[in-house]
Amino acid sequence: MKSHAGVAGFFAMIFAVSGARADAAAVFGQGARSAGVARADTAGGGAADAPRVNAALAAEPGTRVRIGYAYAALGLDFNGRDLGVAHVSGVDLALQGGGRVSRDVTIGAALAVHLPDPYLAAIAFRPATEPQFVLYEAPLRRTTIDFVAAARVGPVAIDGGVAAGLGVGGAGTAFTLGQDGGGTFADAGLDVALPYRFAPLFGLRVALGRAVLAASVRGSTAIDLRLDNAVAIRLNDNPLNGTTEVRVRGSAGHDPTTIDIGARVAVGGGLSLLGAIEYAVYSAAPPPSADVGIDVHLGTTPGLRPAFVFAPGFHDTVSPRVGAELRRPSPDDAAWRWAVRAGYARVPSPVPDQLGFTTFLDSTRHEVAVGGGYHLGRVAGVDLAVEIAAQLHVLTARAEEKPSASLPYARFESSGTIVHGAATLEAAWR
Amino acid sequence: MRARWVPIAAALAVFAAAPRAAQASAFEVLGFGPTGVAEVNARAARADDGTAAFYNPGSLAFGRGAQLAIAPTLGISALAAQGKTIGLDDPFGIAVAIAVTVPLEGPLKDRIRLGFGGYLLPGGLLHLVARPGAAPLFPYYDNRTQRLTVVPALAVKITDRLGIGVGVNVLGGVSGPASVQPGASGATESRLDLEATTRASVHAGVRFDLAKQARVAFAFRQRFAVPAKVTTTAEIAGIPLAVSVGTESALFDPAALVLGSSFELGAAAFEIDATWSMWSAYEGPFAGVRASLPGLDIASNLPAGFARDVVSVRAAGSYRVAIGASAEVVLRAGAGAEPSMLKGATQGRTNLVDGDKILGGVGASLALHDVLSVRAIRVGAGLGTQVVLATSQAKSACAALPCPADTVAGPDATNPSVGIANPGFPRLEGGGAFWAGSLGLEVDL
Repeated sequence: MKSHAGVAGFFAMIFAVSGARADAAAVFGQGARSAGVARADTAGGGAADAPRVNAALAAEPGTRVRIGYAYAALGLDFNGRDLGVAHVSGVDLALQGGGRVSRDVTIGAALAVHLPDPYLAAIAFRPATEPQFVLYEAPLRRTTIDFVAAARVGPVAIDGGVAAGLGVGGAGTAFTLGQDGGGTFADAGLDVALPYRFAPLFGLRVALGRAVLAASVRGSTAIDLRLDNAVAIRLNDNPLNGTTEVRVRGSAGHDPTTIDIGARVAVGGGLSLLGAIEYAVYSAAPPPSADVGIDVHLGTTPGLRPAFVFAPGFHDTVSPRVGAELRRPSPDDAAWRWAVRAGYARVPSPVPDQLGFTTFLDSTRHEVAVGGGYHLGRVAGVDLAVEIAAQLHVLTARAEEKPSASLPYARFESSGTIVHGAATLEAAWR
Repeated sequence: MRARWVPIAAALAVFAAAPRAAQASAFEVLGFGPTGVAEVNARAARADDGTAAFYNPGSLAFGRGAQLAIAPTLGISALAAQGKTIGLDDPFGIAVAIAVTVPLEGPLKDRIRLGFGGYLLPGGLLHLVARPGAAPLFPYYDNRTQRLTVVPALAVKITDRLGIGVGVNVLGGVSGPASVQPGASGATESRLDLEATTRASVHAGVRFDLAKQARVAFAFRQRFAVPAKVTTTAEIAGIPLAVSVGTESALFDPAALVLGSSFELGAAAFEIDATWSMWSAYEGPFAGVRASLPGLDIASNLPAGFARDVVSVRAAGSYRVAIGASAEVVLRAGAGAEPSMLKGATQGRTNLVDGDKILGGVGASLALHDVLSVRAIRVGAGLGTQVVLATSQAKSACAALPCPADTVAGPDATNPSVGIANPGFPRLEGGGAFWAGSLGLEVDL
């Protein structure tokens, strides 16, 4: 059995490198069960939740596959008007397999994938001086692939894994506008690469009778961009003859390193209470805007001001989350018939007061979640369950006034609401 | 317990990989695993493991249990044009094949199989290189091994003799606008909206077993290409620039129809496949460009209609030699021929090279049954070659303005036939060989 698990885990790990990275799941939760308790399930998720909730959950005997769909409508306002931040939707997949090595030891691995509807990833940079909701634009619009492996010895489970992502690089584009005896011609070369990027995942879970304690760490992720565009113009008697090179560097959709500590207590009668604290290291975030470099060697001598990139100066945040789940007639994974759950989270904003050219928008977010599930039982040899969840996020109103009226958007106000829904179907072979 | 959860785990791995699926080019050029390399891809009627996701998803239905395989694969180009060797940008990758029977009960028991074929580059998802228009290159091989390949497939065994299957062949391209303009501070600022868009095509197939020893197969692989396009607008010192560079058909694979049949004679098995590859839809390996500058609006004039459909024939055989009660060696060989996908028309600035190809391959595998708690473990090796026969084309110098598209010109408009620097002038020549090697480890669970 051990060798089988190793082979399966190895191949699963290979697949993990094919994806991109976070992260709609970090805001809404991956799967309806996690979403229904406002992501307070660090210590209480199911085995298929392992890659996103706590990797230690993967060490559960059996095999599970889960497919779901989630949609979030974002209504984020700037000075009273909707800023048009794109809605977020996509398919969630989760796989988990585990087996018993000995009476007290189990091992397992799990894979979670989030696929946005229209594309694998979007890489968006706005001009730094433009108002923008930096946490809700590019970060929510990319494929997520997380792989974890875990081992459990008695009541203690430990794990490790990777979140896989992509960058955008390569030599860039080169364009030559030239002239020969046949007339003018345009020639181009293109060198684009999508290199892999990885971030580490770790988790720990201890079961103490009715109580479960858990902790998880997730490394930071982002889509790094390096795009060069070289233009060469060689025409007879043209004052623009020469070369222009535009270099763009940036890191889109940064997700910070997060540290989660949580607990679950089985109160009785199928009711469990969940609590978690998430510490997000936003202070290491790179600028959300791209750095631009330009080299111009033309027949004319332009006057250029160098591009600038502001350090965003984000704050680290601490987010408390609480939730409750009622499963009847039994809380056991194989015996429950129906479930209801609810949760609440308060997520402070990492964005500091805007005092200069930038107008980064965000405010404290209150999140309320509800959900439920129905266990269909065995169908054609497969144990099936369906889950649904809904969330309402409210971004409190935030008004700011910059120190000088000559700065862009010297006075502004932001607020917003987000409505999220998710549904999942889980198949299990225990 | 073990027999129950292991195949399920493999199935889940297949399912998880499905949405990230990609392209099949590396398999077409290199072969899929040591068996595909050795048998020159003549596998449509016999592949029933994960490689069937590429060769014929219908054949996947006839496998049993779960198989996992990994095969590091290397391509080496000894192709030369104008006396210079043209190598591969990314010659190494790892092929992965997984197949599993979905553990259902009732009438669906042992009827549904999932398969997965993948080719993973060590450094990234893809590496697209579009060369300048005059650079000599072999379009049949250019860019075709430089991307992640992920082909998940689902197969159903309708009857004990008939299987059908379908796979999805997906990859993401990169496209979108980028602008560089003076911002509110007066400095240049950038606005980018690049999207790694999803492109998908279908693999489908049918296999019908005429008898236990004789099979026929039909497979279809839809045309596949991804966009790679970046439109840059900039304002440099008050001078507006707009340049769009890219292609809508990067990483191109032609649509292909495969008709195959196989039969077995004792320990020997033979297969012959005919493949119709629709290269005529190929728009070319070049990046197009459109530029707008003050007083000037120009677009590249790329050649069109230079490729043609081709039919290739491939044959392969294998022979099993038992070694004791629980081991066997399988010897493999294949051969085939494929015409050039270029029409051979006289080219202007471009220098595309391709020739008729002679295909060959050899390989062997060792299988150990019922060891280490698994049904079988196989190790194998395959070596293949594609000999591209020498090809030559005379180039025409432009004699008078306006220069026809199938000529090349020097820098002087008053005397365009003098000083021509096109690398293919006066004669474009090329040929050589392309080699592929693969080592594989396969486990039947």
